[in-house]
Amino acid sequence: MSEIEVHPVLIGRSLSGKTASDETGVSARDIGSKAAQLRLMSRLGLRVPPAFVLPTALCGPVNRSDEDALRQVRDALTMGIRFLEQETGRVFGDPRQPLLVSVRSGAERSMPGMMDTVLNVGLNEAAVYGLMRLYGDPRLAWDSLRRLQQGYGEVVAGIGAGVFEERLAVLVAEEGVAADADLDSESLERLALDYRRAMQGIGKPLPVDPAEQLERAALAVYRSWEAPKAREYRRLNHFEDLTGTAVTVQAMVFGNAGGASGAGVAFSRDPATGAPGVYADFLFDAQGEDVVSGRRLPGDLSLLERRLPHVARELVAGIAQLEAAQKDMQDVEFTVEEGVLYFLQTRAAKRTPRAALKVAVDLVEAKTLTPAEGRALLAGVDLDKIVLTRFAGEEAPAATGIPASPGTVAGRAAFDSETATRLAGQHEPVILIRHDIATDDVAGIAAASGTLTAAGNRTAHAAVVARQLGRACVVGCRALGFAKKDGRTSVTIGDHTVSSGDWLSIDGSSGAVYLGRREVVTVRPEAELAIVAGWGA
Amino acid sequence: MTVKTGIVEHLGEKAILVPDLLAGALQANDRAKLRMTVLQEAVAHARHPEAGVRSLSGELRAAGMDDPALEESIRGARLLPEDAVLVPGADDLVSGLRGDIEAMIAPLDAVAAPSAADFSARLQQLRLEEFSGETVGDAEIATLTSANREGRDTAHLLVMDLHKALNKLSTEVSVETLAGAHVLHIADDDRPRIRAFMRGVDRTRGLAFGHPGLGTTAARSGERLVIQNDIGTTDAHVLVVAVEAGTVTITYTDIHLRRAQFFVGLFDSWKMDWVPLAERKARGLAEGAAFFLVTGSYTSRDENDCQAFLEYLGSRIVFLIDWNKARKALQPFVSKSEAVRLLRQAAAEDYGHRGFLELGGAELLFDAIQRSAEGRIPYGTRLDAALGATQAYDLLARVMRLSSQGLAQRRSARLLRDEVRAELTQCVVSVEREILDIVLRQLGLARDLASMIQDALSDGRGLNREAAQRLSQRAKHLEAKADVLTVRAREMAEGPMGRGLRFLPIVNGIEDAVDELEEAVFVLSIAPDHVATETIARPLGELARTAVECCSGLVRAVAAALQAPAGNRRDTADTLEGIEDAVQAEKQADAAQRAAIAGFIADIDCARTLTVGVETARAIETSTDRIAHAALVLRHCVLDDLAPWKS
Repeated sequence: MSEIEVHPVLIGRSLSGKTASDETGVSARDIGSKAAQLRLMSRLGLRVPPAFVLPTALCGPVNRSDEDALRQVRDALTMGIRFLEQETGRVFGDPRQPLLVSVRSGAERSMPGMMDTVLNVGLNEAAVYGLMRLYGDPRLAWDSLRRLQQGYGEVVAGIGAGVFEERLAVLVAEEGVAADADLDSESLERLALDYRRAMQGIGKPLPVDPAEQLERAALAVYRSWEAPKAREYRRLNHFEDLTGTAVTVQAMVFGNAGGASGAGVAFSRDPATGAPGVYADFLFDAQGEDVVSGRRLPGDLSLLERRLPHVARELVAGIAQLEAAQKDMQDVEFTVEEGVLYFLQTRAAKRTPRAALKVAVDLVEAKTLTPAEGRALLAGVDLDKIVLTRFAGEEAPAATGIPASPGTVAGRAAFDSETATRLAGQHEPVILIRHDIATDDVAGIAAASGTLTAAGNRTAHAAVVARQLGRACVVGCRALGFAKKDGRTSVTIGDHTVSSGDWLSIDGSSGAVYLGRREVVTVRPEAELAIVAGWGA
Repeated sequence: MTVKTGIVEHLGEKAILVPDLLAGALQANDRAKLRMTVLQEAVAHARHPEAGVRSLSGELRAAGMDDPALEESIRGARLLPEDAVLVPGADDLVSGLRGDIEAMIAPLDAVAAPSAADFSARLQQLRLEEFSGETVGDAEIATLTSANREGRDTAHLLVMDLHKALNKLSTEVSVETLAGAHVLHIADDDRPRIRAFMRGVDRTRGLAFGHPGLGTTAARSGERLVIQNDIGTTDAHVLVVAVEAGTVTITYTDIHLRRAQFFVGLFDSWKMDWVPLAERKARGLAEGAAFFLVTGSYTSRDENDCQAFLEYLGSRIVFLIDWNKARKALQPFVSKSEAVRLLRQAAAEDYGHRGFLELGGAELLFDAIQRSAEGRIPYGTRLDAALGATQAYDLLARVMRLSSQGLAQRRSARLLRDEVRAELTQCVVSVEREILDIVLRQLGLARDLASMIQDALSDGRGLNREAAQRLSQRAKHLEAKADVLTVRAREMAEGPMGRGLRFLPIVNGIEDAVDELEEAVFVLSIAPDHVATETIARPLGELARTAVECCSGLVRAVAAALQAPAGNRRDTADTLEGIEDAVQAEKQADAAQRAAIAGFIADIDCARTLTVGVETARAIETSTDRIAHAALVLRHCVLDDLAPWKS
């Protein structure tokens, strides 16, 4: 019989600014690292989608099927939902203005085998119309339902992914589109009906009662702590002292709810140069994944400033607060729903070595960090490799793309990672040219001096990897054309044909692409390097 | 004899009739004695006219022989030469006596008593059939009325002996009541089976709602237990069940072929052997009283199975009562086959059709239609045409069920009728919902199209050829889907019965909007090169955004309308708000279009680019016009529903 009396930890606007004396002792150990971070942002006064957390302390007793613990889970869920309803003005289970939540696991450390997040919990076929009433978008409504069906089905009910993937694949083929993101509202409605039939056929239908969905999902999170993969991981890494996972239930916000909504990613500084100033990618009427996928070209902060100036101001102020609080450059995910800004997540931003230098210097100069802390921030950065480069002379570019990672390089064209690696092995500088970058191409990016893609944007995978590796990168160059003849790929830039091995030059700071081999001039950031040297050994 | 007994006899089940025959025989005994008394009194009066006449009117009346001719037989008797007597109506008296004696022999015959043959032989030897005329000789008087055992056999002696035999039979054959059935002459093994049958009958008896019938008689006849049920009170509607060893044989007669078929259908879940339906005529029945005969048998696995079958059989009988009446009551509303299907379902789900009839049957529904669905179901339209076959079927099934369950729960008929009206209203409204559902799908596609246009133009760089082609294909695909939806909605709205007719302009409006948006995509896709479209992309993207807003407003309105057809105030307010948003967005689109065109005309020299810009802008703006117009039609319908004079 468990002795603990557990209350859910509440996170929301109405609680921000409360003094540290209340809810003392709440740490990442109790509520998981992600939730702790959410709480941090909230207590800084930043608006986050309200949430509540069922603490890690309940994990063990629930897995022992302790009756008392199970009752406490139910009570905590009820209490937490009531809190969310107050914060959002929506009602859980109301078909007219439904409150939807995400349910996610969260331990002090993340590990494999833990349950994936289930989105849109609280939705059912009656509430779908409520979503339409709220957002005026049938596509959003049916898409949300089918995501819940699949999420709940796979993650909570244990239905194999194939059941959903196969049906989706058939529909995508029938509709003649590239992927599920391109399906229209009518197709998604049919998909949701198809999923419903499939789940019923298996005998594991999505519960119609939102409270039942929520309870089952929460219990599934706790139980996933004991999944074989998770246990093995803990054993191998000697994490036996961890108490368990927490369950975070957070109100859903929809960035794809129309013209006054959107999603974006913002850095507190330029990730290429470290220069202060918010560097953002933002899309209206979109979800987070749309921003990074490159399907649509995001705008920068000015796009947000034009349409929703108050949101832009709030974002800039909030990001500055976060950098100061975390004492490091931040990479912040945010969503806007109907003109209201929500911070979702913050973490230390990936940056080029050049940027790392600038950031460390700035923060120490501002006395945010001590010199020792500044040196710690630069650990792993090869200061000798930091160079600023530009091309000698003036020339008109053959084409332009989006600058994604700085560096001015000239190299031989390679159209796949193998060729890039081979040429680099022969000590030739290489420029990897692709339509888009896939995860397998990381080796290619590393081997090449620069990367050039036709698709993508600044926050795309290619850009992130290139910055990390300190390689020049230009993305979104639409003038690039690809053709395959006799099994050989050839690339056109405008009217010019570029064959494998031809010389090309790119400037990752301006996005310019030049034919031929341009001369590179290098310069070291002497002033900053001197400052760092002054911080002692 | 009644038709029922005639048929039962025809079926060869005499054993079941013994109680009736016995009762008849005892009455015949009284009559026989009275007839003989009349004869004696007549002769006495003829011989001694001065002695006055003893009135037999009391006794005659009690025996049901209230014929004045009998009194006249006595009064008009005269002495004739050679001691003969004239008795008016003597031949009738004698033939009546003969009939009575036959009736007295009948029960003995039915139980196959050995004495029956002897008695029949004695009757034959009396040669009563040879008597004719009104002159009764001395010898004849003796043959009829003498009680002297020393001489020849007489009718009087025969009657007396028969009476003794009948009394003896009566004591042997006692009728008892077992589980509500009249049983006689049964074996111990028969009792549990009879109880099983009666359990079934009693379980569903309530569903008759007071209709008389369902009386059961059981008797053993040789190797078989025979059970008979009256069903309703209609003649020629008879159910006889014979159980021998483990086999149950059902013999069912009905004057209605369809009901006989329905009866057979009740046993679909049991493995029965049915002899094909045959038409028969029973001897002695009135002309035109033909009936259909169904015979089926079920071989049970064991005693439990046998009783289970008997119980099931017993429980089905109530569903035969007034079956034809129910079928006719349903036929103004659905097809013949659907009516039968409804009755089948009512039997299968144990709620039956009698409740529905009790509440008024067809009148119940006509009244509901008139009061609740006025104007929405055109006069003269059959219900299944107005609502759709499935909807109508489901509605009637619900009405039958709620009638039955409601009456069983003793709820007031008035409240139940109100509930029926509410069911009908819901049904009509749900049909309108179907059309709004389609409207919502159309709007989804319209919004998707507008959104696609907005996305494609959003980065201000315009469309390259490839992207434009893809967009054009997708737009066509969406438009094709919208067409299919429109056709379906039109069929529903315009069909001969006009379901949801008032929403038709909305359907058409959105269809037009989709066409305009597809037109916009087409124009963009034939733009000569992407450099040119860069200059028009931003203003057109903005215009597309207002088109998305316009669709969103109407989506919100329709979704709210769908969630509360009952006119809930909150929902109505949301509907009107969404409509207003759509209308405002159209105004914004108007302004955006003018701004765009003004800009194009001022800045663009290239005729092709200018044309593409102007045409696309026009098409997008027109789509918002159509959506806004559809929104106003919806507003009209909503306000109409709120009108105070509607109930």
